[in-house]
Amino acid sequence: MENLVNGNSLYKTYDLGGIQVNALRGLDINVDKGEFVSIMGPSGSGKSTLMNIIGCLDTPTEGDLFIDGKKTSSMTESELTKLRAEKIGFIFQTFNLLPALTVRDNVEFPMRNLSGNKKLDKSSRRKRAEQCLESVGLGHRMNYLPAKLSGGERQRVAIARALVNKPKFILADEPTGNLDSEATDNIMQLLHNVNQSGTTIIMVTHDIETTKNTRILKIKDGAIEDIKNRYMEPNTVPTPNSI
Amino acid sequence: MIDIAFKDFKAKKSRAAMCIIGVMACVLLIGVVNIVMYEMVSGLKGDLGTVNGKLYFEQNGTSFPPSGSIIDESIGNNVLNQSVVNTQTSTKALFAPLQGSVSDTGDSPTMVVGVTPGKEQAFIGNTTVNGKSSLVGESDNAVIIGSEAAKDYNVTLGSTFTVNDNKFKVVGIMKKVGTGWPLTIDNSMVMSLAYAQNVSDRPNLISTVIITPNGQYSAQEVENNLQSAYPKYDIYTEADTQKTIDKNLKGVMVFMNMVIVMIFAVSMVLIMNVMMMSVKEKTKDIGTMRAIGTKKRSIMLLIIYESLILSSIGGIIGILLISPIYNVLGIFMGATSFNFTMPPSVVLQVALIVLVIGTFSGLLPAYLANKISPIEALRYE
Repeated sequence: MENLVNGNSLYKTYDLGGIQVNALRGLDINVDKGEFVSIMGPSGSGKSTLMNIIGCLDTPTEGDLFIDGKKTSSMTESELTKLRAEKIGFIFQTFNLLPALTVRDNVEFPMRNLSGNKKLDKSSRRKRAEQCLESVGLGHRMNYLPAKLSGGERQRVAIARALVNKPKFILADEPTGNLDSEATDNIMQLLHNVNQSGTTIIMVTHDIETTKNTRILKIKDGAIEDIKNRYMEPNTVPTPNSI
Repeated sequence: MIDIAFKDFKAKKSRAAMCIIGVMACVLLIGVVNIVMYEMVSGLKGDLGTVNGKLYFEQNGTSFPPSGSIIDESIGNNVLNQSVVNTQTSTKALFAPLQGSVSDTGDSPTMVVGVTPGKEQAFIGNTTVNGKSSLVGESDNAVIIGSEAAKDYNVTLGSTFTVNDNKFKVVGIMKKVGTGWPLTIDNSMVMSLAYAQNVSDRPNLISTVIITPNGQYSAQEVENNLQSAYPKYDIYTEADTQKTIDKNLKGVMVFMNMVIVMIFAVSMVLIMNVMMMSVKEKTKDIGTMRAIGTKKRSIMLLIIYESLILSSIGGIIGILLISPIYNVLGIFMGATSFNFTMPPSVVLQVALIVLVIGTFSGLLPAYLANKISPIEALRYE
């Protein structure tokens, strides 16, 4: 199995007005291609810190992180920016769509960040954006502004945006956190479909029900308890005790 | 990114409108001040044009116009007989402010300019005259009057008017050449030397000899020649007149330029404030853009483009309104028609100012946008 995310002994320490806060303490993580991994843990456990580091928005204080075989700690800021553009798709809890742009423009936007031989002209970008929107069932909403969409629809646009550059993996930070149960089910179904078509997904969630059919990693006090191969049977809802 | 900037700009219409109105007002002010300066400079260049190529022989220590210079007429005759002087186009002349006024507005005195009939060209040069441009064959009290003086006395071609019991008959009206500055044609009344001496009560006296160099001599050679022949007198040249104009203009230009700089600064602060607010509001969006791989440079360009869009729209509207506004102001100040069109040089200057304002106003907000940490920005509510 191709290894996409490999973190060894990751430490992250924050200096908060003279007080050292250890957000990650020697955390190891491995995610292979095609996996759907859920990261769970209480508040302050280091989930967000881990997500920021895997997403190359932040760097570990110690330890090495490899994304698609490349060591990120030796990369410059512009190299990390390029890596995020080309290899990582982001989905946020609050959708984070650009409010002044239409749905199509929002989905097209990440393609503007591609450079070199990956760069696309305007008509190709437009076509690809439309394809991604069709794949999430929003082909009929292309010219709408985000404010006119429901929460579920906005998250689907965000998923389309995350997919548009054909990333190696998607980082989803509480993707259903702001959705009702019906929309949550729809989004999770969509994410599973995306995963089944080959895209690796790493998701942070508080909602245990959304971890069905995923590999669950529990994080506590900056360290991880890897529960390998705890993919649940269909129709079985995992409970906190089972994790 | 310019299309994204444009869409961002459209999304905040009312704020953008306020900013555009502000920029438009600033551009209008800058444009009007620029035009006033342009008119002053070109008007004074017109004034200067009347002394092109001539020299003024006058009493030591007097400047221009030589109304304070008093020379015996016989000396003037001697000067005219010098070999360096072109006697056909040179003339004795009397300059004296005309005391009293019959004009409606009671403006400053008109300059009486008495010359030898037939030698009017020495003073008026190539100025276009409506009516007669020569006093030869006319009555003693015939005058060729400047455009501003004609307005002051409310006279037309053929009119007769009286000032301090002196009657004048208008045989020619000169076209406006300059700013109406008292020293030149627009405020003058050209008449025969004899009548001017009578009106000014200066019998056998002149103020100056207006000299055109004899063909083979340069102005400098004539100046040197006459200065050595008449060391107790001054020779006032075109260069001296330029210095006089520069000296008079300097204070006004400095003040006008200061006004422009202040308006410029106000425009920049206005746009900068709007862009700072915009960056603050866009903190989360900027964080999102950075997270999904947008380069810092692209975000900087986004901010600067939006700033340029605001300043350009305000600037274009302002530039288009400058001429109409200036014409309306002119009407309020006594002009009789809407005939002002903005010179291309002023349009270019104002356009450049707008470009500079737009670019530099966006720089600080763009810099601050790039300092935003994506992680912090994504948490921003």
